[in-house]
Amino acid sequence: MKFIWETLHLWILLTLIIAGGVGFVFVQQQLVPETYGDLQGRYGPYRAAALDELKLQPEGSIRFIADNVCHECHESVHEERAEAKHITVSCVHCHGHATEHVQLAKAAVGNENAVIPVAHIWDDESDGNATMAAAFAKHDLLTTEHKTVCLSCHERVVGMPEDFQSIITVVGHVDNHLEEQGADEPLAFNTCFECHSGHDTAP
Amino acid sequence: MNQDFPILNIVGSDSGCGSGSGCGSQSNSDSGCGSGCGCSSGPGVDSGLVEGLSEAEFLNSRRKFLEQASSVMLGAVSVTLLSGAAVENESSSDADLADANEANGEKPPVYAFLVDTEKCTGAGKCLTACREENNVPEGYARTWVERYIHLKDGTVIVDKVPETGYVDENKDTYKPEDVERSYFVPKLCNHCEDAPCNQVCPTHASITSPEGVELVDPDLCIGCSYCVQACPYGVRFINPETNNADKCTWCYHRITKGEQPACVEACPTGARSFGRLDDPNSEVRKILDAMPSSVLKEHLGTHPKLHYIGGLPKEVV
Amino acid sequence: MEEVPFIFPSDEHTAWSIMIVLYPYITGLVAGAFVVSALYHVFHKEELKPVARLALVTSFCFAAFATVPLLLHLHHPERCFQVMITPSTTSAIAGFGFIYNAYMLILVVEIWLVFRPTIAYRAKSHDGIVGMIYWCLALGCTNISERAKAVDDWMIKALSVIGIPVACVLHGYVGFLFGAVKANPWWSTALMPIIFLMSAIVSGIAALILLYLFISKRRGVAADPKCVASMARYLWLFLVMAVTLEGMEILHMAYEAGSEWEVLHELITVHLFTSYIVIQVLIGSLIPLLLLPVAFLPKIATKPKLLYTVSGIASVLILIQVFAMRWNVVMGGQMFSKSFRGFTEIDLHWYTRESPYVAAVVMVLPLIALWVASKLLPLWQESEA
Repeated sequence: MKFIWETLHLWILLTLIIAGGVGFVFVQQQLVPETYGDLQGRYGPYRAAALDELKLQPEGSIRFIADNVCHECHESVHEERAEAKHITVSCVHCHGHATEHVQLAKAAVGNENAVIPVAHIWDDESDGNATMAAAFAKHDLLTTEHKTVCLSCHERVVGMPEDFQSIITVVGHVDNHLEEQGADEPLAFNTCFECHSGHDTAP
Repeated sequence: MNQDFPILNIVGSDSGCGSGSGCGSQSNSDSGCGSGCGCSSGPGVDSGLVEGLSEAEFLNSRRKFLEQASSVMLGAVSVTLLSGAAVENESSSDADLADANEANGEKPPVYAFLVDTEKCTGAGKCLTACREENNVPEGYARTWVERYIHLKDGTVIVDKVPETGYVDENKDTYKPEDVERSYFVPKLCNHCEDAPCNQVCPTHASITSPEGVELVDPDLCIGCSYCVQACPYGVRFINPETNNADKCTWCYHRITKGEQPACVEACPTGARSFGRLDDPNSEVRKILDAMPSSVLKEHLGTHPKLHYIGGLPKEVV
Repeated sequence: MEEVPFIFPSDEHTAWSIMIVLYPYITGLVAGAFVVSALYHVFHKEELKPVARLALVTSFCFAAFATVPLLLHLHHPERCFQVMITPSTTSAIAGFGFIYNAYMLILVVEIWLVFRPTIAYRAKSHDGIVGMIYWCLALGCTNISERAKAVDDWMIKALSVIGIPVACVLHGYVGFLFGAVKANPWWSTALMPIIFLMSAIVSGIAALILLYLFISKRRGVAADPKCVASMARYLWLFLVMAVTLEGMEILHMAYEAGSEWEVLHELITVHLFTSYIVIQVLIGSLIPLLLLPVAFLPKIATKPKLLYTVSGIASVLILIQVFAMRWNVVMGGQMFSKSFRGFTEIDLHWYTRESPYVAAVVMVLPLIALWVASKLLPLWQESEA
């Protein structure tokens, strides 16, 4: 008894430490987020609800528009493209990331008065010498026959597979190609379309 | 989880087909799964890419070194398919057993991502698609494409494909006559089986989804950057807008709806493909069964689920 | 490297700022200072008695601010407690919350016991608010009988004994944090924890020598040459071990010359030339190694001026060496891309909360705390008597 009295301060301290520890565990348990531990990953438990949240990310969920979405309205283009080599090229690569356009178009279904925004046209006249990045950033939908779009894939660069149909593998440099083929306006922004079409690519 | 799929052990040598060892063992090991799974390729699947090609066409599209091996390959493919069909009945019982172990009776899918460096043309369409899809801030990237240029004088140059492709101010400056060989290597998260980034995360904000996708819990991440340091592939970064660790999710929000990841959807040449590894009829599985492949930094034991078909040259890290 | 540089996109951003340099530096001082106090309390090195209390309080003052650089670094500091709410057993960082708190608990209790007679005395002798504060600090128990003191002494010794491994774990784990990153060949070595530990002890002793000499001068009291000489000898001993380990690590890497050595070689000889070769090795290690043996001279205690000058200079250099070592580890590991094809520019985040200016302020805070503590508690046992 005397010993306890002499060491009372230590017992008080011990009580405080235990109380602190219990308090910590209690608070910690309260703060554990809901659904935490419902699922186990390779390195332990995690918050299962995060998966559902991530399924909705990013805002607006799916933003990159797959071709089948475009074809829902633009059926004729689908038919036009069906047999073409360019069927593997997504619509958005030439027409811009039409996220907003699609959202508005979907919202307009059944509403005859709805106005779906007119596509932005990229040509040298209206756009000066806008680069591809600038043109694509300007509006969310693009109508164009601009050669830069074609060349972004088809101008030969070092590293391309040899069998890929870049212009140089077939005919040499772009300028030579235009000269050889006798392009009427080799400097025009849409010179490629003198011979080729974007949707059904005849050589 | 993937021990069920011995194909993961294929190591593609960079000089070409892993010849007998790789192919031969494949035909024997294809007893993993029954049929069943029926890969539900979403409406967005680019039907012209992998599905449109026969195995033979697919193989023939590959360059020189593979041509020599393709006869061996074709043999292996047919054997694989035959044996797959032959053991279908037996293996379905295995699958039932495995299913019985699952509490909900439904096994989560196992995914794999394939990159065919022989098909990548460096157009950069995947890069803009990813940025658009995932709101990736400028100056950061969830995926990128490296270009390796072996010059005739022996030096190796690596650069990064610009997001618009090599147009406008990013026109290519290398002359083909100086170049010995050159190829593009798309990079993204490897979604490792044993992900070091996940291991080091102090708060369980790094999570492995039931599908094996490595994700970041946006509510628990404290932004300590330890995962950024721990990733051997440099795919993680701190997003300056959310202040969370950010990374490629294989477009988790798309794949869980049956869509393809945005970069796969965007690729015009089929250099990127994504699908179920647990479905013996999926294109991804068939290609992995038939072809030698390699993963990045294999010596680190991370067991990536991102496979490079045909193997990678030793310069690629 | 003959290749043209190429770095991964994410490596263009410096993920770990100077705050992550500061953090092991501060915890190192914490661990090192504690070891000095333990040399007195556990190993009965009586000559260290003059600094035993200073060592404990210094350790506490630095430990109290060890989390500050981390909080400044975290991109979500408001979620910091998450490391204790949903801790991952596989993460070195998750261990921090628990190890740090365990260490702080031991330290606070030990300091409380050491100063309890003073606290109890003042609780009784002061009236009003001051008396109340001391009464609260004494936990309402002002018994300082001989029996109680004897039990306290025993407790102090026991806590010192427990404290040594905990302080080692606290710092060893910091080394592990780097050493276990297999993605980074500059960090990934099993020697990392022990290197960090050795240099931690070194920095703690050096800091105490400087503090002791400085405070003695300010107080106008002569420092005890035997005490300084003893600390200088321990400093030399631990410095030998630290430098040997640091050297062995590099030697091992260079001799094995694995595939990463190409990058590491360029890292050391070019990008870290000043901070590694010049500052860490030549100035910070070599000069103190040559200076400190002065403390072994037979009659050094009779030449305090020489002793104080030599050990003072050596201590300053060693504090710089240890900081350089932390810098070289943390920043060096981020100077090359994981593509191993190029070196990155270190971004010091000059105009953010992680700036080196803020770091300088953080380094001053423990010293201010120490000054405040010296006003509240009798750090010098002779004045108490």
